[in-house]
Amino acid sequence: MSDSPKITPADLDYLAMNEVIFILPGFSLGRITLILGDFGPFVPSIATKAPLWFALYLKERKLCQIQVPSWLTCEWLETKRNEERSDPDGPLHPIHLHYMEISSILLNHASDDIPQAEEIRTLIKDIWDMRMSKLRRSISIMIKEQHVHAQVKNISYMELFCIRPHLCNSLFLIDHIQKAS
Amino acid sequence: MNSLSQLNNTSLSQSASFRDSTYVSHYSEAFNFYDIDDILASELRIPCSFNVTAYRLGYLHTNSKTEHIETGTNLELPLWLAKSLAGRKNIVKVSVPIRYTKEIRQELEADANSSDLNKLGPYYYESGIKLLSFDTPDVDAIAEVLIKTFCSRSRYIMDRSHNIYDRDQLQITNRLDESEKKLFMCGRQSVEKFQQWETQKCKKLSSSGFVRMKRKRQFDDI
Amino acid sequence: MDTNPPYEEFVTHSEGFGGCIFFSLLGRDYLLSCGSDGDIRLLDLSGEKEPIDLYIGSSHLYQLACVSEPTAGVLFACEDNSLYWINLNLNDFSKHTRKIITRFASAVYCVTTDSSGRWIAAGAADFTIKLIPASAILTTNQYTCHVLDTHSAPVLSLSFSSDGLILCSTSCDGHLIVWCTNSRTVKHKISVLSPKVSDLSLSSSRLVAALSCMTADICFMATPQSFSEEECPSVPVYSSLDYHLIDRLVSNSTTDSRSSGTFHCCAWSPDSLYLAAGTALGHIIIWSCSVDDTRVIFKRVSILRHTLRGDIISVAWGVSNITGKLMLAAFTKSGYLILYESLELTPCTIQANANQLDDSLLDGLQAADLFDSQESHSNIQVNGSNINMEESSLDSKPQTSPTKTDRKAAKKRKFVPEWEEDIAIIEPEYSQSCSEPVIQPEPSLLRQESFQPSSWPPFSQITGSEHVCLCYNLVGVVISHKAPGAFEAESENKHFNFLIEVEFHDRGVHHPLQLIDPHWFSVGVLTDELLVLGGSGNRNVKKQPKDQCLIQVHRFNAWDGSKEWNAQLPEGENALCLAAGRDWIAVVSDSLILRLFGTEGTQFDLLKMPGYPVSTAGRGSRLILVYHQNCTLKDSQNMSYYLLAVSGMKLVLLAEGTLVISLNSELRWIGFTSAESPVILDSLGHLEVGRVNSRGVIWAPMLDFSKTVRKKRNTHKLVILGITPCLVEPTEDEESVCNEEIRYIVPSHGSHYPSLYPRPSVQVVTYNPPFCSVATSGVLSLEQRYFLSTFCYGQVAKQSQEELMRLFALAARSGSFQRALEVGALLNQQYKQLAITYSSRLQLSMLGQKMNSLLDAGRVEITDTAVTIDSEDPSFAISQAEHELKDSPLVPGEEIAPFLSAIRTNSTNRDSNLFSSAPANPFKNQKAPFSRASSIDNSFIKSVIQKSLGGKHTLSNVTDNKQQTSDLFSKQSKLGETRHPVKQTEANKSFNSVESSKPKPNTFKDWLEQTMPQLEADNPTLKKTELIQIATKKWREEKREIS
Repeated sequence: MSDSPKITPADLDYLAMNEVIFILPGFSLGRITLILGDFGPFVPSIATKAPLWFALYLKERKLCQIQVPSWLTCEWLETKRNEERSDPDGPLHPIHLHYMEISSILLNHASDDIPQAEEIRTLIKDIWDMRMSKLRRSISIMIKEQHVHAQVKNISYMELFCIRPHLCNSLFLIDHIQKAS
Repeated sequence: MNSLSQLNNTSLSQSASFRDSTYVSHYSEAFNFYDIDDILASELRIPCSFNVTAYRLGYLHTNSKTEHIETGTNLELPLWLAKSLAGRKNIVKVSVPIRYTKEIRQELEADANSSDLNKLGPYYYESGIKLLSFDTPDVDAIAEVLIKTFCSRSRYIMDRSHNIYDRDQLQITNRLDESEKKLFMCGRQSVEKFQQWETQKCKKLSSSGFVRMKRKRQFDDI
Repeated sequence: MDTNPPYEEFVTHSEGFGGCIFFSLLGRDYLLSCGSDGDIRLLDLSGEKEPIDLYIGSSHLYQLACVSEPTAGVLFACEDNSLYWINLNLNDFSKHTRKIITRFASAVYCVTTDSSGRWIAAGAADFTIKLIPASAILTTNQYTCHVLDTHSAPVLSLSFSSDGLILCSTSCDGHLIVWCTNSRTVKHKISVLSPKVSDLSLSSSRLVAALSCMTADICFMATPQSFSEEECPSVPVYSSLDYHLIDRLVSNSTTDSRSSGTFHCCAWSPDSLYLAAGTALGHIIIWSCSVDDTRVIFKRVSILRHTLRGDIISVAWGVSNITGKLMLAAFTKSGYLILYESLELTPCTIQANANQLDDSLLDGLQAADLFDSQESHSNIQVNGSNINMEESSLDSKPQTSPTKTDRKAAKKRKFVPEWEEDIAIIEPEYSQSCSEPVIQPEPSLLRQESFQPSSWPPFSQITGSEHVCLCYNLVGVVISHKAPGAFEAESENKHFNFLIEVEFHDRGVHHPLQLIDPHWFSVGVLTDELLVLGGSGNRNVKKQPKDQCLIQVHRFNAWDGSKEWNAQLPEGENALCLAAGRDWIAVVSDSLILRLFGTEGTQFDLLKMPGYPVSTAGRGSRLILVYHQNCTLKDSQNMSYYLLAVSGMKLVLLAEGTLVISLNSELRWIGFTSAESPVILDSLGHLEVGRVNSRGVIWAPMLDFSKTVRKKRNTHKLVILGITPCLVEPTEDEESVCNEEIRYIVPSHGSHYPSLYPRPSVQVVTYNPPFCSVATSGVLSLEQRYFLSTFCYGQVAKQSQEELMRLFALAARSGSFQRALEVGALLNQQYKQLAITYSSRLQLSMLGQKMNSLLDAGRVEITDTAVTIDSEDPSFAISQAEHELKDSPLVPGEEIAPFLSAIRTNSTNRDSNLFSSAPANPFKNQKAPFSRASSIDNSFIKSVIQKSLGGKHTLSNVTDNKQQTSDLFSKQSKLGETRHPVKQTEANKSFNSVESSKPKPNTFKDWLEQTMPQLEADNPTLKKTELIQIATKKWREEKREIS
């Protein structure tokens, strides 16, 4: 029962890197073909789409400027936070499924391209705390009242990672007792 | 990736797929031969009364001086023995162990959170499950009590396990049953991993604790 | 008077001070003051005079105004970009409600209301003034807020006339602008202060406009002014009727003039009898003003000295409700409030002083001064024509004579004491009225100042950081900052340096540069190879003589390793604009000289411009220069241009003429397209591109930014980076008709210029000429497409011809045949045939016939000029094909020649064949009546022509062909180019019909016909040309066999 989870947060980071964002390249390059698709042509200071891993690679070499995705702005996150806050017993509100990973990646590597980076950090933390507490409360209700079936919408990958062991194993235990009787 | 998407989109019902991906079920009615927890769980002593005489087994009974175990003797036998004896062969007649009797059950029902399941038996749930395979009249009641207890205690376990700043682990876990302890550790681990990721510790190389303590190094973090 | 009347002192606002105002409510008098600590304090003058905190805030408050009409309240201008209003709750001063009336983009410096309580005016550091109806205080609805943004520097103070019709405003740019409140238009602009400063802190005296009304029609404006240290500080007073300087008030006579210090503030008393001004040394000087029909006389009435208390920053008058006497309050920089509760002043009247001259004031007065001052003694002159007033009372007034004002203007720089004189003696000659109206020159636009394209104007309002963008174009960004304190220690004169930061969009060109700039360059231009900086704003650099301008050029990646060179312009010249092209740099100076330098500093050429330069731009070998013609007109800047080419390091004039921009607009950007045609953008957002021919330049409107840019208010502020060829490949379904795009950046909402950190995103737009569009918006109409394709590719290019074909088709289908014919006349020969085909398919016989006659006319030309290479001509295509085939090593030229000559003759035959078989039923049946040879040739030629006209594709195909043929011989590999199945089947059909009867082939052409089907069968995936190549080889072999 106490198997360590097979997927780790580092894996989630890796999966989040496939996200496509806009960059302002500082170089010129033709069209490139990646597994995700075709990107480019890259023209200096014209906003172009690129996958996140590529953008970080370029950013490290100071070859581009990352444009923050639209959901990583103060206003959007504040609205999200207020939504979650106003609805403490309700379902989880839709949010980017990799929001924790992408925000931590961008804040750690490209914070100069993000306006109001510190506020965004606090906002993301607030949103995380609220969502996790909602999740925990609903999990405990589910276990206590021995619900058999549950549906979770808009759960992000990192949240899943945190609650999966506990939830699954408790449900297994209950199941086992029930089966034995 | 596949399992993640399943987790995301489908309902979290207890379906067989989860068992394959992240969880190995150690619970089974059949005894798992190599599992220590199983072995220990099945050590539960069950009071039995012999239906027949067991010849030359008098030494099992601590009090008796006779050579054989007479019919009607009450003996506490371990569960694995009682199971096979009480099964088809009907050599013994089992009754419910003390820990699972009505009074204890009522106590548990009353206040599950504060009872010390560790004291009641470190393998309360597992043994209880194994007990359910016997044919005593209390079986359903026992099952119900087990489930109810667990359900009400799970909140406590989850809260404690997700609060990684609570350093005094021993104090929390000393009232928990073994399986609850495992659950606790599971939760703890996942949250610890998350925190490690948050603080980017997992990306830094550090020397292992064993090595660090074995040789006294001048510089602590290398 | 040297003794001060009784006064009281309070200490308020120790951090520094903003403004004060007297206020009277319910019979009690209050004095309100606001300061840089963010507080408003109230002093109850009828009571104990203890300062009470009315409002406690955190941002610097600049000025107060009181409103009593809807409810009693106080407006205050705050540094956090807002204009607030709080109500005065008399019972409990600390309880108040605060409301934001309006917000600006920068700190609000002044606020004022008019005495009738209708309007509120507020001015801010973002150069705008907002005029708000006073009813807006109470309503929460939308109210119209008029924005006046003529100023080009932060607005310092505002003042209404007492009837509320006139608002005058001063700003750091040294102008005092008089506005008409009702129409919100500029009535007049007076240049009061000559050096324009960027910010409140840099202005040496705080320009305060104080407006007072003497009679119903005359207002005065007074602004403290000081030019430089040698001159005496004075307060000039202007008349609001004709904006002439009436008088220049000073505190003392010439000998003693410096003792009072510069004037910092002034205020008129409520009854407009007195003007008080506060000085830097702590004096308050009061003049009295008296007006009669002809003259205005100011007399200094008293000096109140408070030398210990620091400079007087603000003065305010009030009338005590209780005693009815005048009150004067003055605030000092150190936070003292000096209050005169009852000021006794005697107004001077004209009669009383008619024969007296104040003795003390005559000290040092010389005879010459007397006469000088006579002339500069001003009368009131009223011009009835441009003011809305009754003319009857004014007709008899004397007129201004221009000479007088000229003399006054000439005297502005010299200090002349102006005292009231013995009026009976002096009778200026031109006070005799002449009743004929002087011809008023039409008000003309203000001349646009010179600017460097793609740069922000200096001292742009980017709050927080002081940086100026010298150049933001396609290559990179050049920003000039004030260097941080680290560099100050290094410079000898303890003046700060500027830091120039150069960042390239494409890091591959060069790494980012940082240069220390002790010279304070004010213009710059960046190209791939150079950075040119010019100007000298720093007058304190020791080693450099003053007034000399420096040009500094940095070269990137120079092959000879040289880094930079400097050139010093001759004394007195200042560089206004720069341009750089391939191998040359042009510098335009304010003495109307354009200098041409090579990239390594050699001076090559000079040019004297006919007018004051506006801007210049260069690309490649072209240079365009825009300059003002003599004067601006009522609705046009009236600028001209020179279009020059730089060849052999000499300037050659290509074209000159009047610059065509929209009326009432200014030039915002000038540059070139990638084909070196000039492009201009005006402040209304219209982009025009010039077509250069031998006689001059025709400007065609190509884009209207106000229709493309969403935030229309910013169209005059967008910055064009440049014009480049399109990079995005066209999608397959819609070919692009335009191969160029314009890149620009737009400032974000509310700011004047795009913010530099983070870098703004670049928007892209292509031309959209304003054709009358019948089609839905967003889709270019066919005519637009044709126009664009001729513009980008040329009239004879394939794209243009295809657009013409579409137009033809549309016209033919919709029944306007004459239109179709007109369009058809523009097609080239080959396309004409397609047009004939099309018209015949639609069974439009008349159209077909007319097209044929056009075709005939064209064909005659072809046969005559078969040899000339003309891209319209199929023979050109043939010669090109010949060229290509020659290049292929495997196919020698001799064998082809007979084949190609056969084609050539056949082409003409082909035309005739088509012609003969035309209108009735020419193309319906592919296999039918033609001579097979010609049909083969037709399809083959079509393929050759299409390939050759396709330009680049052809060449690549040829090289591919070479490769393919070599591969074919070596490995028999098949390359995956798609064939053109239509041609193939056509050829197939024709060949199939031909196979049966064949004479023995003795020319390659015939032989080809025979063997073609076989070849195709052998190599099904290869293209026609490849097959032909194989065929030629085989023919060669066969020939060898034969011979």
